[in-house]
Order: sequence, then C-alpha cells, then structure tokens
Amino acid sequence: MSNPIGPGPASARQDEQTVELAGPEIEARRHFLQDMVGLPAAALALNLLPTSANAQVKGGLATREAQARRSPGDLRFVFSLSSYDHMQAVTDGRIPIKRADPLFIRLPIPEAFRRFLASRDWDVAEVGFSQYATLRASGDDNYVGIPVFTSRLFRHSAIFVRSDRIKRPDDLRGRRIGIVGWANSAGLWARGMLRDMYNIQPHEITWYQGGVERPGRPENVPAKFLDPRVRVVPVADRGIEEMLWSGDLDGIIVPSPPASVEGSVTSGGLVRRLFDDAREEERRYFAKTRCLPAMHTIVMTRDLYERDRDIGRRIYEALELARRRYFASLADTAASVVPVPWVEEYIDSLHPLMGADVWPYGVEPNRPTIETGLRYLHEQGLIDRRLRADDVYPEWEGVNV
Amino acid sequence: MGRGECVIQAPVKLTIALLPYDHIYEIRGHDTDYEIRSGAVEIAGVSPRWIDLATPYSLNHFASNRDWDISDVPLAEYVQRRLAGDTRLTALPIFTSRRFLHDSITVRNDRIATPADLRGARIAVPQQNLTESIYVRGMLADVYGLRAKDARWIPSDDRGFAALLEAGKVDAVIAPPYRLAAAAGGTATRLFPRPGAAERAALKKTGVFPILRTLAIRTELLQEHRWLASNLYRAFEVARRRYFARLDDIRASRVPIPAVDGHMRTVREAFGGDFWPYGLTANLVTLNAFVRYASEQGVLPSTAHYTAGLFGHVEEFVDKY
Repeated sequence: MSNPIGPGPASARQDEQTVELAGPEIEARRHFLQDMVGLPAAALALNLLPTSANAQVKGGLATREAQARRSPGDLRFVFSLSSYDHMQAVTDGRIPIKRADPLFIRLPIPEAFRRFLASRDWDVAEVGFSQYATLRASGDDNYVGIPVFTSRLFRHSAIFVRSDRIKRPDDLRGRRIGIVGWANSAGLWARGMLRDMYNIQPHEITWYQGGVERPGRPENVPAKFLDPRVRVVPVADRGIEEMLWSGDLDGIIVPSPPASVEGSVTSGGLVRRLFDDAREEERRYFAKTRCLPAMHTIVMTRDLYERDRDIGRRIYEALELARRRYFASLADTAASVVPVPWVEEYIDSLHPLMGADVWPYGVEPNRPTIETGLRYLHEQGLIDRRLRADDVYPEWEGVNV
Repeated sequence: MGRGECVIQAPVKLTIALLPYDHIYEIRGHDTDYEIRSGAVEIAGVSPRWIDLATPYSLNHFASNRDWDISDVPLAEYVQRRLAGDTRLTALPIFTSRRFLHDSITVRNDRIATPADLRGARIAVPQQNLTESIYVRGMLADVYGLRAKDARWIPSDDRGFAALLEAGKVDAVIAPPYRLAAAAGGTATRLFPRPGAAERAALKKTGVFPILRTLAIRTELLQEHRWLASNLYRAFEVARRRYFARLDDIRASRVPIPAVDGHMRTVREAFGGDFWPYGLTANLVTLNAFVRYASEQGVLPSTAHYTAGLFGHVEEFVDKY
C-alpha cells in the first residue's frame, strides 16, 4: 500500500533505506491533520506536517528528496544560521529553499555576525538587526535584508542591579551602569525601554563600557551621533562583573549574565534583576509600543541579490513554512512533540494583546518593531536620522510573499 | 594485520524509531546547538540508526515486527501486556509523551454544562483501553467524584464517537481530539474549552501529569547488554536537559514563542519545579495513580498495584551533562 501523504518508496540501499509504513495509524493521522490542525492540502503536499509523512531513516528520504529537487541551475550559496526550532526544518533539509542549493553553517553568534559583516566570506547570514540597520543608514548597501527575525526577546531581564542600591527603575537615575558596548542590541533595547516606559534618559546614567569577565573589550561600533550629554566611559583594565561586585557599578546590562550574577539571581543574593518578574512589565511594554524586539535578522550580500533577485523571497518562503510547521506541531494532541505544558493556551492568551500572529515575518506586520528599533538607534546616536522601515528594506517593496 | 582492520568491538547497532520529539533532538544530532554543546549527545556503546515516525505506533506493531529495536509505546498497552506476562518489550522510565487531557472530554452542551452533570450520563469511551481515557476517567473520579458506577460507559470506535454524540445516543465522549474523526459542531463542545485552570487545579490536587508514552526496548537486548538501559537513560536525560536549557536561553530565542521564559516560569510554579522528570522516583505519583485508575476501571485486575518490576532498572543519577 502506498503512503497517501508523502512521496513513494525510495531506493533500498542499506544506508539510505526508507521504511515504508502504512495502515490505519497513518490514515487516522492524515484525517487528524486535515481536520484538527486545519492544514490545507497544499501544505500537506509540501510536507508541512507536524511530523514527517513517511518514516524516514536519518540521512535518508529528506536528504534524497532535496537532492532530487536539486538541478544544475540551482543557486549555490552559504548561509550561516544559529539553532532555532522554528528553522530546523529548513536547516536539516526537510523543507527545501526552492531552486537553491544552500550550505548551512553554524558558528557562535557574535563571531558569526562579526566575521560576516567584516568579510562577506559567505552569502547569507543571521546578523544583529541593529547592526544591519546601522550599516544601511550609513549608506552601506552591501547587504540586503530579508525581513525574517530569528531571535526576538524583551530585554527587561537583561538589566541586573545591586539590590542594596536599586529597587525600582527610578533608582537608576544618576547611577553607574556597565555595558558591553553602546551598540549592543540588548543594551539598545533595554535603554529604549527605560526611556519609553519610565522616561529615564540615557544622559541620566553614567555608562561604563568594557568586557564582562575579561577586561579590555573594545567598543566595536562608534556612536557617531551621540547626544554630548551622554557619558560612556571605556574601561580597559577591569571587567564590569568585578566592578559590579566591588561596588564601583550599581548595575550592568548584559545579554547573558556571568555565572556569579546568575548564581546571585537564583539564590536571591545581592545582585538581582531589576524586574524580578518581568511578565507583566513585558506585556505593558508591548501594549504601549507594539514591539517584540527584533534581536537578529537575516541578510544577504548584494552580490547574491544581483545574481538572483528572487532568492530573498524563496528563502523567506521556506523559513515561513518552517515557522508554520512549528506552530502546527504545538497543536498535535496525539503526542507531545513539544514538551511544554499549556503552551497553546499561553499563545492564545497573547492573541488579544499581540494579534493573530504572535511571531510574524515580513515588513508590514513588524513595522512597529522595526521602526521602534530605528528610533532607538537614532535617539541613542548610532544613526544620524529617523528612518522608516522601508528605508532599510527598500528591496522588499512589491515583493509578494 | 592491514590498516583499517580493528580488533575492538564495534558499537551495538540499534534502530530507534520515534516521533521527532523536540526533547530528543539533541541525541539525533542533525541540528545541534553549537553554543550549548559541542557534539551530538552520544548513547555510549551504541551506533543508532534513526527512524522518524510520522505517527505514534502501537506496542503490537513494535513487538511483532523487526523494523526497530527501540521506540515508545502507549503506557496502558504496555502495563496490560506486561502484567499479562508478555515480556518481549521492557519499558525504561523515559517518558516521551505527556499531556494534560481535559481537552479530551467532548459533551452535548444541551445536556452537560459542568463536570457534575456527568453523573448518570451516558459516556462513550474508546473500545480499546486508551491510555488517555484511563487518565481522564481517573481524573473525573479523583477531582470531581465521578466513580465508574456513576455513569454508563459506552465503548465505541473512533468513527463512532461523533455520530453517537450527534444522534444524542451519548451525552459525552472521552477521547483525545485526534481520535475524533471530525470535529463535532453544533451541540458538541469541549467540557473545558480553556482547560488550563482546571488542569492546574487537578495537578495540585492529584499530583498527576499524565504519562502517555514510555520508551521501550526489546528485552533480549537488555539481557545481552546489561549496560544498555542506563546508557540510554543517560543520553535521553542529557538531551532533555539541553532542550529545556534552550527554552531558558536568553542570548537568543530558540523557539518562536514570545517571552517563553515567562511561560516556563508559570509552568514551574504550577509544578513546584521540574515538570518533565525522567526516572521512576520522580514519577511514582503519576504511575501509581495510573495503575490505580486502570484497576478501578476494570482494565487491570483489582489486585494490580504498581511495582518497580514494570520498568527496566536504570541508574537515575546522571553525573554531568
């Protein structure tokens, strides 16, 4: 019996064997997917299932399928991307990028961003959204953005303070706060949030910029247009972690806390989060700004874009399918493919606040986030003027996705 | 001896068939987080061949075919067979699938509005004793006092549920959503349309987080390789911890769920800590409740009680991950 959903049986080579499964279980599953998940037939044909349609041996069908679709005219490129559950179906080949032959590479995040932007040694990359926007604003057109946001985080939880001195946001005024770099995304969004929600201006705090554990981290991106009232003091000989504990700093804003800070937060020690429980604050922030802060996005080199003006749209489509597939897997009642209790109800609880799609791709649904990010870049002196979303995604106008 | 010839033993080749659970992804190793880990989680001594299952399979399929050596099986089917003396498979306390099941009660809304209305009702249940329905009936007994004798239980198959309900021959159906061939409309609605609060209350009262599927392995393999059970346990435990570490990763959002860390905090608050432990020790409340429910419902002999012998022994203390 042939499988009603997926491609037929494949070769019988031992290392690429496909175990063909059929029977009432598969049939029931298909009904479930169509009826309960509401996936259209077209999506089923594209293998947009919470689980793969055929039983597959690792390295078997999925790989072969992609190879079968590959032809000599396909665009070859190299794509650096970190590990995301909403993109795994693309990076492991289950969802192909049409007419493309990508090689996915994974590198540690700051290193990958830095190397790609410095060298353009490959073609498509995940980079910091603010890095990309800053380059675009400065007139550097070597990069073409794809409005897909890989990592999005509220940054309320990135602010760590000495609890003997700072109890609430207002206490930050006149204090000394450590940062890893003025342009660091976590800091950018945290400062923007403090201004939008508490009217705390950057010049009301003295900023100490340096490495967290190891001293001497240089400022990578100069803030060329910084309000002269803002003081950013470079620290070359000490780490901001040590300065916090010794009392020379009152707090730090870091994307990822060092072990001593994490331990202190966990055990209720001297250093705590400014917002011990950020859940309500984050909702208030979203209600006011319509922003789910975009930390990372995808960009390609202009060279690649000129070779194939349509490639951005095809990358977008594959990533969009993978994202939808992830959300479909949350609705699977036959097995807990995603082991998180009450996750659907949690997402439902976000709809009144965030709308039908809580993690959208594309320029239009993300306009508030993109333009808030651009406003923060301007307010914090990293770009020279207020930009609109279309200024950083000009190639995306008129693209149909 | 020429180059390339070895006198050491090759790792044991085993075929593992599972759904693509996110909490095992790190063992599968074809998409691994560079920053949390430097290589796929190894099952020491094993060279695994993976099969991605599209759908959960029955224990019978596993036990009577040679397609694979390790897979997960429905808890009810496993306990029934094991207590009946079928020892072809041995379960390990690695629980792949668990969910709260309040969404598995569909009722005629012209007759049933609250759980108390189920008293004296006609309730359709799956013919085969489905793990899910055993938990749901047990929950109705423990939380709402609905004993087996308080309702009429009508066995039906998946296709029959919607028709029975529509024709008014039953007042309610206990079957998980994927078992209802078509979503019944009109007078048919979920008893708990937004079940989270009721599920949290039930958890607080009973301590039960339903275990639906458990990992199982051909018993002969465990006998041949006595180290195998604990090595498997270790690998799955490491992968599980790495998955949950991903959800808490604040350097980058690994799942497309806004502020997922806040939700995880809510979940941990409800459970009072780790909500998805492997191992027998941490799951005794749920497993004992399950066996009790099954005996109260006549699925297992009334003398059945949970014994450690139901599961293969594993070393539950995992050193480093």
